[in-house]
Amino acid sequence: MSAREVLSTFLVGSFYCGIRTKEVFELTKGLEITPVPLSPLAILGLLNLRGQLVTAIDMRARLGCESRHISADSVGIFSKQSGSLYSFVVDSVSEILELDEDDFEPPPSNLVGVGLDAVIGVYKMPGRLLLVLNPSKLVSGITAERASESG
Amino acid sequence: MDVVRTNLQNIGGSVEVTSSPLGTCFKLKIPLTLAIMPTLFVRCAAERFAIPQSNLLEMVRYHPGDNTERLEYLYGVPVFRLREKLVPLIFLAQSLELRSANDWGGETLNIAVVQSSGVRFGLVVDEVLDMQEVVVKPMVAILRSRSIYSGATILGDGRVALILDIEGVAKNACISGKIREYQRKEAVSGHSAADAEHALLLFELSGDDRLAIPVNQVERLERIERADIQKSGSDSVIPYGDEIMKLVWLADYVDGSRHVKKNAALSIIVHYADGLPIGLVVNQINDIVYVSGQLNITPSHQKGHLGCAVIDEQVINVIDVDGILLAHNSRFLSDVPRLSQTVTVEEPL
Repeated sequence: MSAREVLSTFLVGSFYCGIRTKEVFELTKGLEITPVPLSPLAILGLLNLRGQLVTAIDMRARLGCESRHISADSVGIFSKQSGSLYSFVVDSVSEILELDEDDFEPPPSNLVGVGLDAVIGVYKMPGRLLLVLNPSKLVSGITAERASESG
Repeated sequence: MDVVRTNLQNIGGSVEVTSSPLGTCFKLKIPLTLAIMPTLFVRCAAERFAIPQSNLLEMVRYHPGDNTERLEYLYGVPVFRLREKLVPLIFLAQSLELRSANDWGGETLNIAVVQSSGVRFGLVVDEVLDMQEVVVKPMVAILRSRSIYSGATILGDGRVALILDIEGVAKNACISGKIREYQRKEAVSGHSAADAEHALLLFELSGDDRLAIPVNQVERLERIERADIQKSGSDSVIPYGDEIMKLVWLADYVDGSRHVKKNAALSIIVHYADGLPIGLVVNQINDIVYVSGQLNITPSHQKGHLGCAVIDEQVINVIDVDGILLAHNSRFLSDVPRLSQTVTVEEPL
């Protein structure tokens, strides 16, 4: 009997991703994000979660997907990293999956791309692959690269 | 106790009470990040920003129709004449890249005149909202790196507003260096005492005509009659109000100077040390110069000199008041103590 892992899965652009559920603090819809002008491209802005300041990260920009538009369906996945709260804003959330670690594989060595430094590995799902992301690397890997157009 | 508990809970702290037969232990927990700041809220594009009130000087509304001369461009920097002083302008929306540059079409401008570490400029905003005291919440490091914001705050409606760091805004607009240089020139030519960071009183002794003392070490300037000088021990003194002022002939302590000529009247710089007046006798008092920014004093090993500073291409020797008084007092201590007596004035040398 191999170990099992519980993942919260979500969609960002064309990516099907997951974060270990024990790292997730909560999920919230209807985010009121205050943009921070001149901030890095991957940072959407700041929001208020019951009186706490949360930094919102645009997962589309972080994972190198094109176009960013925050719709009413966008969901914030809240996670606490090194004492600060972050919200990973994704297109939509999917189910919580309990997966067998036998299906886990480390990232293929030819995997290169924007934001793929945070990929821990891949689960082979029927019909598609699930990228497992490391939230602390998602935060620490944000570069100072800025939006060329208005923020 | 209840008042303390309620107030602490309001700011997110707590009170813990533990009792034992030996006594009671009160633990007050106060959040470290808490800081309340009075700010002015402004709107720029769709967002609200807070300007710390400590940076705010005044608000100006500028109608282009009133007086079209008032908004001008100086080497591409928009400047604004405010009571005949030039104030550079920063368009906040452009500075934060919320709007493309140079789209000002002559509409009314709301200008917040702000000051940060001696740099004064006008911040053009879209709308002035209200004053509020806000709780400053620190931001994560990646957002602090450009230091345009000093923090963020959560407003009554639950939204987050950013607090501007005025110095960071000036730096971001790359104008602080230019402004500082401009204001230094203005301070020297216009003698605007309030803006100057250093003021030096220029005086002369015979043989040494470019000496200076920092004005903050000067209490008053006096002219005294030589006939009024009396002797107290080895000191020359003079009644000064209710006090007795000791006179120190600076020429005795400053290298390169000779003695005061035997004029009937003497110029005195009154300096207070340990609450007592001390009159520094000089030959002539000339002028006060203002130096803004850092005063570069080159150390000097000459007796009585603190160092020299270059002001308007002239070398000025700044005297070392503390060192001179120390030398004067130690000379006094090495003398054999004598009974204090009043004698007629003797010329020194």
